[in-house]
Amino acid sequence: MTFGLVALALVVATALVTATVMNRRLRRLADASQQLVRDPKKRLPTASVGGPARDLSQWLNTLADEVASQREALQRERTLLGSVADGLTQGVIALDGERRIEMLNEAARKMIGAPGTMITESLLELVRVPELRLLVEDSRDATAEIQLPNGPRALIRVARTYGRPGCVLLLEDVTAMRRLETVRRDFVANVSHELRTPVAVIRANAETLLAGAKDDPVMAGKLIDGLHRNAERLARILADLLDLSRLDAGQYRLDITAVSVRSIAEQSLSAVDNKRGIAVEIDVPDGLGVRADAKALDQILVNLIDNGCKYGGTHVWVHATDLTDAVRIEIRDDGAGLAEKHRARVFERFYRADPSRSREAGGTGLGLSIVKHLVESMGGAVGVEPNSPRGSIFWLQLPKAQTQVAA
Amino acid sequence: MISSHTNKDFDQELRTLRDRLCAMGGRCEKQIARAMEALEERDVAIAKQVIEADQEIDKDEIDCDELALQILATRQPVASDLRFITMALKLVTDLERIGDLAAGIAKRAVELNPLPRLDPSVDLNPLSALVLKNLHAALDAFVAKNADQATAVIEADRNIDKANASLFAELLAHVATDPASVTRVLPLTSVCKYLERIGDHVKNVAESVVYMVRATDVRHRPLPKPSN
Repeated sequence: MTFGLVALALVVATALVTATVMNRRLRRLADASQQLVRDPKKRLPTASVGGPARDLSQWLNTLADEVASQREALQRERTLLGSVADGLTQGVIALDGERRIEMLNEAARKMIGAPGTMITESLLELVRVPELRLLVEDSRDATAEIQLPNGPRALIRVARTYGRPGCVLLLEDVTAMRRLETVRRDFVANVSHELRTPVAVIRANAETLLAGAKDDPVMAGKLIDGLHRNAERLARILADLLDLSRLDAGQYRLDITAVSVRSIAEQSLSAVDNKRGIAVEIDVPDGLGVRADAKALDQILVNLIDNGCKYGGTHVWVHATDLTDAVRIEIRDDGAGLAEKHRARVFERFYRADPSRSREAGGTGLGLSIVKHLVESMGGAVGVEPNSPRGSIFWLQLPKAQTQVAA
Repeated sequence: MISSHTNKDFDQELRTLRDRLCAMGGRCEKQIARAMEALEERDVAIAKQVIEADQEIDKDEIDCDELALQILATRQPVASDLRFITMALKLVTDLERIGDLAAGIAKRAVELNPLPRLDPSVDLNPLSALVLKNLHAALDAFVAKNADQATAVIEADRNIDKANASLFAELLAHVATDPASVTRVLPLTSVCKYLERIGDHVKNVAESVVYMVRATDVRHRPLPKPSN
């Protein structure tokens, strides 16, 4: 009986001690696991513990290693995906089921003009375009070309994401492509118009002469004058076109030397047919020279001064400024000026800001594109800006001649 | 306002209403810009497109109204949701009027097209730029639920009124020096008036935004004096 009681007490005592030890180990393990969750680099101690707690620690450590490596892989993948998305020229936007932006790459950010800090996560609240709303709300995959406000024209493809609500938008900037298409279409329309008009006049006048007008001296005189004018015009257009095609093919021979801007400007001015008696002022420092082909520079300045006289107001100013490495020549006028949308296109072949007026003035519509080609062939740049308070400034920049040139 | 409701359909309906209002606002912005482009470039084709597209805004108004009423009837919203719905009902009316006024500008552009330009020309672009900027800011304030931004829009309406007054004086000076120019000046004074009224509707939008966010009515109150 006594033996039995002692044995029972011993068993109870042993069980209590074991339970306390186990409890303490488990508590330590629990504390350590908590640290493991907080800091993924930490590992549970395995040496100081024994028994099943050690096995548990080992398993938990293996699990932690696994989680850490998976997390690293996920991070790598995410960085890779992020850099791939940012490297794309196409815009990518991922939306969740509630049309909130989940991901936005750099190109898309630029296209939709998203600010650094977003005022809203909702795409349709940020880009308020009715066509985009229809596209996103449509439950099918769809594509549409949409003009983004203050941004480019974009071809937007919406693809539904499988396995979860939401969709991915792919945006392609087609502004430049559409602009080039317009340029090409306008060029074809303009070139046929420019060539057909003088041909039509020549044909009509010749037919009228043949039909009997040749016997009427007054009538014949007028008709022959028309024939002559239009033949001249056609010849001018053809000569300009030939120049342009030579420039395009790189066959236009340029003899680059140091030339005096002032003497060429004066020479050009004397060649301009100033019918309207516009006051032209030349303000170019003596001895200022550029590296250019004298004939080409003359052709450029004749064209620009002639334009200023034809379309300007009452004055044309020719300025040249020394920019250390280059020389900037400006031809300013005080005419009606050019609207911004024309400024971007005046250097295109046959482009006319005001067709009726420029044809009347006798231009071929090729002058400015020849100017642009010539300037660029000589390593320069050319452009147009609005003049203040009115008119335009046509400017060109050419490399400066390092030695002083005789005027 | 979109907060999380237990009823997902309710959330969805509110979101759709917001998206439609935003799209309608965006359409108004585009209409004003295109109408001014038509006037500036003397492009009758653009003007006619603007006049035609006004129907879309009218359709937007009906759609938004219907949806707002449907939410009101079936969900019986309270507090901020109720303020959002009542705001939406007012917002569509203002936006629809803005659309009408943009179409009005386009109609004046068509009338002005055969007439020669005024010399010296009167540039309406600074005024239209102010109006467009304010409309954009009002819609931003609506989207961001930002009452401060909306208050700034209300205050900026003063500048629109000032710009309109000075343009009006400039246009009148034309008539004084050249009475024959009156046929060209009158449509332009109308355009100025339209822009100024668009500005007033934008101000209404901003006031509704303040009400929606702060639940305080700021209509018909004197504005605080500008600092400095």
